[in-house]
Amino acid sequence: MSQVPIIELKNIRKFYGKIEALKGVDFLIYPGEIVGLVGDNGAGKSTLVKIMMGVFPPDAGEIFVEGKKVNLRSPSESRKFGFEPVYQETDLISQLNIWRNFFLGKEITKKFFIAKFLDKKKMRDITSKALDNIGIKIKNPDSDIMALSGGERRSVSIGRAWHFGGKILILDEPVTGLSVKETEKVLEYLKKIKKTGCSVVIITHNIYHVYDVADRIAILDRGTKVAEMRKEDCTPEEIMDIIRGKKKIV
Amino acid sequence: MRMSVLTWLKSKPEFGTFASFLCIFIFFGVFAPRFLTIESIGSMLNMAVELGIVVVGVTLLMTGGEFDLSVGSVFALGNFVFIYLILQNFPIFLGFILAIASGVIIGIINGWITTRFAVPSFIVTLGMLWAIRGFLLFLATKQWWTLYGIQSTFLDVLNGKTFIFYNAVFWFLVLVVIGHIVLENTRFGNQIRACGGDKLNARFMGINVNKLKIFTFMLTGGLAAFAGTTNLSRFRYFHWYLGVGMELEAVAAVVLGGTLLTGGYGTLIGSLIGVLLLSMLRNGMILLGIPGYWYQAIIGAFFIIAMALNIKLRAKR
Repeated sequence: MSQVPIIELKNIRKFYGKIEALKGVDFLIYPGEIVGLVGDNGAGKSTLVKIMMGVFPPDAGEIFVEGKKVNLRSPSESRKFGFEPVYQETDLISQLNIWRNFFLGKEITKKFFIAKFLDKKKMRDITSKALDNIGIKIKNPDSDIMALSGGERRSVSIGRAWHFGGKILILDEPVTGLSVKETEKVLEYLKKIKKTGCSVVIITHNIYHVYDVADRIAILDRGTKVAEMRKEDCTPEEIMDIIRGKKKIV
Repeated sequence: MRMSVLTWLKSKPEFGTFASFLCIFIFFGVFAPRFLTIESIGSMLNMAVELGIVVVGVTLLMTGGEFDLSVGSVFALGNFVFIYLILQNFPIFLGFILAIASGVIIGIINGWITTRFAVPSFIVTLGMLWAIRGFLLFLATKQWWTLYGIQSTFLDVLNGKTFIFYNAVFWFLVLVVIGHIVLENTRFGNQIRACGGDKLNARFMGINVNKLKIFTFMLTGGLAAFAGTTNLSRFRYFHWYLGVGMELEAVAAVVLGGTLLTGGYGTLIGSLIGVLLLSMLRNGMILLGIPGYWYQAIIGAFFIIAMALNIKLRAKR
């Protein structure tokens, strides 16, 4: 790909006290690709992603967004660039139905005399359409979140992040805890999202969760990027060996 | 797919309460003499309004996942500030505004401490319940407080009698409608529900959870004080004991109506039925000639049974 990367992180270093969590990592993402960010616990995946999300700044290194050098000082700044996280622990709110969740914090209203009221019809329609676009079939946007399966819930959060201007969706362990069938479904949605030109970063410790959909895989180990390859160039077994530290690739 | 009316009714969380309401209504209608008269229905509503106005705020607050146990004391405070200012020859309207403001200020304090220091609102407002009551006990027990001999159109409009209803019935119903629209059809309502459902997720979606919560505490305090002013307009006297136990009745009416004790879902229509149910029980027992000391025991037993049924019905949905 000869395009300009949406985001490029160069020589990123981050310390937690005396511990160096990231020891000069380079990482970039092109438009419309799915990148697997793989590594064991403590490899530095979350730290790297939190820097991308503007949760905290790196101690050294540079960040470029579409070729321009930037400082990501807060999550909201990072979201303005279209980096949308879908965290593992944050899910939908079970007491609200689908469209209320989908538009939470970004509700569409219409003015009636002096007051603004929710435009429920519009929000229902948009919710159905947006989810339908990436292949998520929802019978009724008024359904209770409780009535959805784990995979469907995850899909609605993914669909929401995509709909609200995400250029890069950052998914933390998106299929952990899902059944095989549901995992396939979620990965299928991610492929459709990719076709719209949106990029996806999948953070996982399990290569089998991303191997099918990823275009490129980067492996972190104790703060260093130990390998990065296009999927065609490796097998999942090789990657597992690298993560376990059995095999070294430059 | 068309649903029958019954299925539709059953799908509503208010259904359980509505069903108990109907059963008890029919029971009293058959057995209690004069229960089905305009006067009796009027007095049922009249008995319900002060609690009802308080309940409107409490419903919103509990939907947002917080408690306010100080509403009974704030109710008394609203009464007191209003009568005190009237007796000091303040313009009545100004006294009315300041009385409500006293409740709003208590609400801000409750909300600020709850959100700023992460003390559960149950604790904060329990403390506030005692603090205000103690303050009133200190200030208000040295004399009789009565508006005897004072004529005021404002007080008559606020809570005089029209036909058989006190005017507060009207304010109450208007507040229920407004509250219902706010909860169902506004951004504020949606976000309140989200806060009550899952505070962290709501914050993550960019909602200013603390601001919303403080605002609902203000609303609750303001409405409790407003209820106090309507109470004063009706009875025209003040006693420090007014509103004792009201906070728990409010919680009872709210959860009877189908609002979740844990937050995240609330219904003003349910709360309306809950309030009417409690006052209908009282009214019916009076008409049946049941001795007064039995009321609390019967209401308590009824409350437990009704809630058990409600939860069972909800689980079936």
